[in-house]
Amino acid sequence: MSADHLLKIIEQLSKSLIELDEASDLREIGKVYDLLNEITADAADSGLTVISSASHFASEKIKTCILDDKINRKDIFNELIDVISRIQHMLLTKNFDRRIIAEDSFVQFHNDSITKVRKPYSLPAYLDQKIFSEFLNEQVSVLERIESHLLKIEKGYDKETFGDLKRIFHTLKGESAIFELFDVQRLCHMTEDLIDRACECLPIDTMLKVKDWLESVFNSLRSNTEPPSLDETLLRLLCISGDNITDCSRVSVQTEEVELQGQNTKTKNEYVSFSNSATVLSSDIDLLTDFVCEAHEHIENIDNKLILLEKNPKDIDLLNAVFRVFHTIKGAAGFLALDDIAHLAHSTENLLDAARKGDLLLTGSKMDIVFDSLDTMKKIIGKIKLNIEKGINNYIHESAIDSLIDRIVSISTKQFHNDKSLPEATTDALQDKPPSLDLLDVHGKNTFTEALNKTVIEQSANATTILQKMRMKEAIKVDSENLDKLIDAIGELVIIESMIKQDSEMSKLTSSKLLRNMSQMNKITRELQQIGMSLRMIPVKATFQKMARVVRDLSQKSNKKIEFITSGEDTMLDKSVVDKIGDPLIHLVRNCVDHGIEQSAEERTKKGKPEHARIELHAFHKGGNIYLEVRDDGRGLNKYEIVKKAVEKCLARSDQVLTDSEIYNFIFLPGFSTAKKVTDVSGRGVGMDVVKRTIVDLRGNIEINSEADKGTTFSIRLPLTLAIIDGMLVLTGSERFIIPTLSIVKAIKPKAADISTIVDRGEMVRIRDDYIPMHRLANIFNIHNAKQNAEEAIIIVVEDSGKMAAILVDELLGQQSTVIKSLGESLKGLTGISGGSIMSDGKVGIIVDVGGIIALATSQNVSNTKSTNNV
Amino acid sequence: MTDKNMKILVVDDFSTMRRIIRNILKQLGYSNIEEAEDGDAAFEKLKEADYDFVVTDWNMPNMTGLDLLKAIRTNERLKDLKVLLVTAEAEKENVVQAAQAGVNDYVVKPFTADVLEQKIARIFAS
Repeated sequence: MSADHLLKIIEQLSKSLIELDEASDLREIGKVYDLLNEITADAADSGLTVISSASHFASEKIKTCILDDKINRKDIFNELIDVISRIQHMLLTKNFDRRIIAEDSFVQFHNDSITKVRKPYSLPAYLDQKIFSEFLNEQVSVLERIESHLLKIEKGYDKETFGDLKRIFHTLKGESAIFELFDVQRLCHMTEDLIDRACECLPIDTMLKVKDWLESVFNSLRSNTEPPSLDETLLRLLCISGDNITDCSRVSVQTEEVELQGQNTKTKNEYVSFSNSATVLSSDIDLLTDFVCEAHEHIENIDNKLILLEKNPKDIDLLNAVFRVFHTIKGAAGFLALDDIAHLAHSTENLLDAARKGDLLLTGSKMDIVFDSLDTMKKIIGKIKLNIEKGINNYIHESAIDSLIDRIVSISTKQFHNDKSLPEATTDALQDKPPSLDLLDVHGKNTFTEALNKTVIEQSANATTILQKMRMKEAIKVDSENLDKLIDAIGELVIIESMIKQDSEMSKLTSSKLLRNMSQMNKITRELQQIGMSLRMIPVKATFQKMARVVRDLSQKSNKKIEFITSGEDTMLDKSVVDKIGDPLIHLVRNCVDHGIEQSAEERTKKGKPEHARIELHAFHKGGNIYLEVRDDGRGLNKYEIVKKAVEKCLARSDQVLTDSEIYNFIFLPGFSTAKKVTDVSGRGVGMDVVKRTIVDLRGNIEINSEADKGTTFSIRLPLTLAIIDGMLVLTGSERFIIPTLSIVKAIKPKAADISTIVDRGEMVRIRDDYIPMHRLANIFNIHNAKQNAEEAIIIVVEDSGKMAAILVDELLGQQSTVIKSLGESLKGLTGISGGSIMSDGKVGIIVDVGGIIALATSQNVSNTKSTNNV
Repeated sequence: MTDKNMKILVVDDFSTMRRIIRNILKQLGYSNIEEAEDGDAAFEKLKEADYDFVVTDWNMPNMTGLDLLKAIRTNERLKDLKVLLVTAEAEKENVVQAAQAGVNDYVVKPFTADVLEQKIARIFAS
């Protein structure tokens, strides 16, 4: 590089510098910076070190100029002009003496450079206030229930009340754990144990004391005062009461635990007692609401990405995506004066940034802390949301966020230094968690990198699609109540439209124009109905993501290596179904982790299974239904144990021959558990009954398939929508009924020879070579003018929970979609009837609940057998 | 004094941020504001219509603010378009890159209306 060339650049530079002034555009300054860098490089190439370092200093100076808004730029520009002319002079005279570029100007340059010291942060936050207060309010009635149950039990043992009482404490235990009310959790756990052991001689006094203590805790939480600490005497009492009943060794161990836990709770108490300091939120509530919604969406989204990232901590695209979310939230939070969020996001961002640069690898505890940060942020945002709803404009700080930020900061800095001094640390950490062991097994060890690359590619592709989907979702937020009203109105419209269409006056119409318009209206109404239905549909993705989190947390807690696989996340379900299906799914997934999967990897390897257990969650459409499947590759259900337990509980006779599905269905009964060990997670036999009930309430069904040592599959079938069912309209006597098409297997015209009566089991009909019980709809609903001769009537074969039954009706009228209407409070819960529907002629038709009708018929049949025989 | 009717494009992937910036601009009297959710979308919009000023975020999916800036500077029709970069404190090093790529100015989040006004005044004075 010649001096001439350098001179040319310097000339250009001088010109630009002279034009620069205080008001100059960054674009111009950027050009100068470029030129200076060029000089630095060129001079270095030419061996002109003095010039090179001089211009390097100059470029650094310009950099501070770019970076610092408030600096007096003109002064720097002037100084630079001076320095540049000295360089020029140097080149022209070919005298490369350091002193020519006067030290006075340059030493200054060097020391001037501004380094900003970042201030430490000290801000707190905690708990989702909305859910928390909902929880507290709920407890009022819960406590009332406990009390009334206790008093009832005192009068006399009642199995049902007893079971409910146990369930209440179980639920409360779970909930209080979520809110980190560890005292309450502990107490409920012990109480549960006590109830378990106590059976019929429950110490009511002690139980009432427990209730009183809980009441005082909830009261003080509600009034934001310090809740009373766990009463030692109460704990003793609980233990002693338990002691008196059975098993003292177990109890004494528990006392120690309680004491330990008691100490812990003292520190945790700080979380619950709210400090009084408050900051005023930004006045723009609208903006804040938007922020809360949007931030929430983003957070939900990265939850999933974090899980992917954990499997593949080096995936730069995922890291970037996660980083960006924290970054964006930080930016907006800064504007809205949400300092807690901004600081938390900032520190997490730094941690992620270090990971992005490769300074640290996000594994184990480092990943946990990112999850923690995410959760805390979720809580803060939830709290702000609640405040907005309440119209409160202040936001209460919690001190807990402090320690979290400290932890994040310490990890990012400590790790940074460690890695610098010990380069092996990174490689070690990498071997800690090879991405996807499965791939390794398939490809063999030599192709480790290949497998790794493949996963990286797959996952990044995954991340990109997620991002794209995120972008397309530009939505308007609508009050869900309005939406429900709209859907209701559409339902009415559909009904009135078909009523008009089927009106006898209509057939007399001759105007072709009117008829054409009528058919057009029909088309539009159908379309409107479809749109209305789709409005309520949301993908199950969010729920699936939650499950991924549950599996992750549980697998860590139980020390089991589990791979979680999902498919069909985009399957759409009615929003109310999605909302309600979450808890049952969590329960099933938990059961899979806790009971389904073998306790240790050795146990699995011994059986010839891969060390990593698999839990799969699938959603898919099949035959007008939506199926959700929870599948594990664990031990499978132990049929023998279940039957043994069922016999023990007098639910089955030991000589009874049971089908597999009948056996499996026992686990859905309240209080049924074969678990040898009761853990925090599951095993109390509380829950599967709730799972079943929730699903049945959603007009769905759950089936179990299991094979010993191969695994268990829970298959949940749900209707597409709750508002409309596809029904078969049938006539019995003069009454019309609707039987859900989903449960109909076939309809046949029976021959008299196929129908026989079996003592104790009522009428049976032979279909092919199977005999299935036959029930007369007319008998069940006491209809007198129905056809008595089965040959004239029609048999509808229905299926419920794997059992077949035949229902005898007079006539099939046709298939139609009907809008389900509730029959109102007073007719609610009638067995055999799931609702009503307004028919096209405006009259009400009854929707038959197939499962209920089979149960009803079976109970009636026994008494009716004789009368049926006589007919 | 800058033209209050100039056409401004606000680019950010976070809609709340877009709204915030839009609000601040409105406060300053600018009303002719359009939005884009990332560099890609912004560049499409810039190609379709004439804009006077672009306010863009740095860190966005698909196309970052820097890439958008580079695309603008290498496009014959757009190369003199005024661009203001919105950035976070931590990204200051990026600002140097942006200056080299020809950004007109940058502003650090969170900022006030006053700061933005000064920046705009400076950009349009030169």
